[in-house]
Amino acid sequence: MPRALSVPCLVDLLVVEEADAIRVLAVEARLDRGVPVRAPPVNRMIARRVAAVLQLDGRPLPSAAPRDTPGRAEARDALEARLAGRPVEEAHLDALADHVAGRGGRALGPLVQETVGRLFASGFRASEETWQAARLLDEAARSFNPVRRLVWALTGRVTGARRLLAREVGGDPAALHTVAIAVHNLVVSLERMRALAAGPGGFARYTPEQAASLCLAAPPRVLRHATARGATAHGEFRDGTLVVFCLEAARARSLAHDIAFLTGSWSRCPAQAWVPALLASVWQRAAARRP
Amino acid sequence: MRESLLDRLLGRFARTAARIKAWHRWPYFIAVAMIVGHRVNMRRENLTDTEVDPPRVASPEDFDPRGMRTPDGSFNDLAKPWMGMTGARFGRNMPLADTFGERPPRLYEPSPRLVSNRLLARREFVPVSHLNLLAAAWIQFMVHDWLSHGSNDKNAEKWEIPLPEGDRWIDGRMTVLPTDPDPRRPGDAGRPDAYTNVETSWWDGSQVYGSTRERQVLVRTDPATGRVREDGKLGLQPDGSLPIENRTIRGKPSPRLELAGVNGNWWIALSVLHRLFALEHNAIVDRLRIDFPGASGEWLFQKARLVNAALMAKIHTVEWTPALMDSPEGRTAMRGNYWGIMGETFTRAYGRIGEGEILSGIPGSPQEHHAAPYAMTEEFTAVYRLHSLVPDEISFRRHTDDAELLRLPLPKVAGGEVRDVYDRVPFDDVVYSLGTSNPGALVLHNFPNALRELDRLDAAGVHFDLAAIDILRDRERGVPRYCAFRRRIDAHAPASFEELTDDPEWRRELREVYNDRIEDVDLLVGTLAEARSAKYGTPPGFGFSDTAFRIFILMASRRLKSDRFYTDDFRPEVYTEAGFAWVQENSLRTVLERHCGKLRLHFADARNVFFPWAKPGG
Ligand code: HEM
Ligand code: HEM
Ligand code: HEM
Repeated sequence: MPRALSVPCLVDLLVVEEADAIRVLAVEARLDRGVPVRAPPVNRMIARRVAAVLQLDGRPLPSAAPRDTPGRAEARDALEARLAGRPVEEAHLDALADHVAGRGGRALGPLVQETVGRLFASGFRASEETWQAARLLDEAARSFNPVRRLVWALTGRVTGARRLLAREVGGDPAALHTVAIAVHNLVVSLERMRALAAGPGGFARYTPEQAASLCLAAPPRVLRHATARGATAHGEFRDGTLVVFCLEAARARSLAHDIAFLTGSWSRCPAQAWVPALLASVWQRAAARRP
Repeated sequence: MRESLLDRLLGRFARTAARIKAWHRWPYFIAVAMIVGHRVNMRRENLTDTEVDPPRVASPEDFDPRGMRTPDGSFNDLAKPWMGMTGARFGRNMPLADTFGERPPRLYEPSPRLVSNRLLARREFVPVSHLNLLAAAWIQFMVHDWLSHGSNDKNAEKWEIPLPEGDRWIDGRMTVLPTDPDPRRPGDAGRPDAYTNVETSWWDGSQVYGSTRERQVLVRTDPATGRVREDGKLGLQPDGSLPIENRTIRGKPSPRLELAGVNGNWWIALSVLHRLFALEHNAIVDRLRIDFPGASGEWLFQKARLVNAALMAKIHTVEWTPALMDSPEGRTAMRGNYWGIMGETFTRAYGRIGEGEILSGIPGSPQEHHAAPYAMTEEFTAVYRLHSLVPDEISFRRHTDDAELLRLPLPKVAGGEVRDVYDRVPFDDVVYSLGTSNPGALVLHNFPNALRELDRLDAAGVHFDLAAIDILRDRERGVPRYCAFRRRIDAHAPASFEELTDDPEWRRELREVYNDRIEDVDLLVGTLAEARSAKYGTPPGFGFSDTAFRIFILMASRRLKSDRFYTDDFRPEVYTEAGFAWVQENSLRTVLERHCGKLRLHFADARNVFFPWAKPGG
């Protein structure tokens, strides 16, 4: 059962870790992304903080945009279609396979960032600077540390990082989401893959598809808020309740791709087929190098 | 589900104590507490659901599923009527991430045939001298109730098991059809293949009654008239033997094969049990008709089935299991399942104590599925691969003077040839012979050679080596290998071949076959090797491994705990007064007394009817 954490007039959370519950709540019409209008103060604070980071020119990035944001679903479908069967550059695939095979070479973070950046901007070049910018944005979206938040606010570092990355991808909000936020899931996935290959049985133990599934990293948490009171078989919520889907925990237990990418819902990830295919081809190429 | 405080404490305690030494090396009370604690932990962590799109359930029409078992096992759980039904998926006792099927080259590392030749092949029959052959047949009889993966995938590319150098396998090449996986659904993306159980998963006597309506009609048909019996009884021949199902199995006509709910892998000992429990069914019908003279044949049949199934579950729990676990802790744990730790006398005399099952046993306690819907599991199938129990030949002797009438190799007492045995040896003498023969021990080098060269006249004259197939199947279906498996059930995983087994000769052979890699040891091989490991292995007095035991205590109780007819509806209102009393008052001993009365003297003194019976003058 989902865990409810609620202190009247302060905070009201519903934390969901089971795949079944997430499937039901992900399609629940009364749950949406964005900032709630009425909600206890801590809820509002959390939602605002996330919204403040995941935006570009005051408009939410697609991964933070409410369901009915005009153009969101169409843009997502267009991106999904564009990604269908789209390979990554040979040099990148080689470098990723090297990494998984346990060879040195380029640092993984910037390498992955460049790989996905090129899906949107053919001249995208990742550097230590763009990679640090992505790490900062990701951290800022999660951090509760008030001192760090104050420092970020005073120095404008978060804004600077966003501006830098947005410029590199020509101001495309989906691309910004990809090179700043989604990139981290891919990095973790590939690190797992390297560890798996080094473990017992090595490459021979798993087929590419199996390895891709075992290593896939889902976002640890994604947020929704309730727009009205409601009750489901998997928990109750009130207007303004923040619902936290612990996607990675649920994926690890169920290995379900539809959980990692929220496939069956309005908020599905447009890279839901592209990512496993990439991971599988990296494993395959790495295995061919070091059987 | 919420664990009680007692459960949680026991679970933690078991883990902590196991770090010091295995449960069976602690004093009695601590050992029992640890067994219960291990079970609590496994109920939380070792039940994994694989169902993404449960099978469709047909409406039961004129059948009232509240008071009777449906033929296909649907509607046992009224809220999730598909649970445990024919065609539902096998679940798992491992986290899904550990259960991806192995594929070549890993699938053949090392070659299953090499494992079969070097580690499993029987060199000389190693008997279990304190058990009789009915004990071996009994467990196969139960397995046929619980599960089967059904026929294999004929369209798939065959596995080709590499033959070790110098191996002169009769067919030249060793090809095996892959297990047929359930078609993948959208929700399966990212998940391992799942397989379906073609029997009902419930403990419902489906080996006797079949797992479909059609099969049930067949076993209820009177061979004399060709029509379903109207008195609610099972069809039998006038002499009490099973009808013949003139069937062709895998292209091989078997005109003399006996009929049963499940009659695959048929041999004489299995045939005996089927006949006994068909007779028992008919006896139960006779008893019920006294109280319900006006009842329909259909109603009598269904109630008798309910009672017969419960009796088999009881026999398994309180007779078979204690026979195989001849140690005080084992007996307490298992008898605990049926009667609770307070013991049968207490429960029978005073009724249930509170709601908890630890004190009072499972039957009659509230139904509970724990972490996943009820299903048989792949790991359970794997630990029940007990083929080494089967002997290579059987001596048929007269019960009056123990004189040998016939000595036959296994293939001559299997399949359709079973009838030939009955033609030459009277039924009572067959039963006597099984009661006075021993099964094989579950150790390395004791796999029956007859099963290592089974004649399976498929389309293309195929034989198969069941030992190699046992190894291949576990790998194919993603059952973790021995060390990984042990880690997941809170059991010590051997770090070396020295820790795996105490036998120096076995260590050397294992090391050679597995190239010194302890992590590669197959589950089946590990469980047989641990038979000779005092520290971590098979507990003293046990007929099977500690590894298997852990899965048994989890799943055995689940078979009762998840089943409405052993929990909420285990009561006289559902079973009828007479039926309920029948379960309480009977046992395999009384079944034998009823249907083989002449043998009474032979088993009267056996502490347990699965122990060897007395021979005349002996
Ligand atoms: C391991 C890799 C990835 C995982 C597990 C993942 C997962 C997800 C999830 C769970 C969401 C929904 C978030 C929410 O509703 O709050 C999402 C949204 C999104 N993802 Fe991914 N993602 C991955 C990689 C990518 C990549 C590589 C791209 C771009 C090529 C991408 C583009 C997007 C976009 C644009 C959205 C917003 C969709 C919308 O309009 O609602 N993701 N992703
Ligand atoms: C003469 C006696 C027996 C014969 C001829 C026999 C034959 C077979 C065969 C042909 C298979 C299927 C192999 C495959 O996967 O392709 C099998 C599976 C199996 N047997 Fe036996 N068997 C015998 C006795 C036993 C006994 C005594 C047990 C004890 C429990 C047993 C337990 C099993 C189990 C658990 C499986 C796996 C079932 C599945 O995968 O669904 N068998 N046996
Ligand atoms: C339905 C009838 C019964 C069955 C099927 C049954 C079965 C068994 C079995 C299989 C054992 C273990 C055999 C062994 O290895 O020693 C056993 C032990 C025992 N039974 Fe029963 N029993 C029945 C009725 C009773 C009754 C009515 C009593 C008491 C009045 C009783 C008292 C005992 C005791 C004291 C032991 C030994 C305890 C132990 O070692 O765990 N049994 N019984």
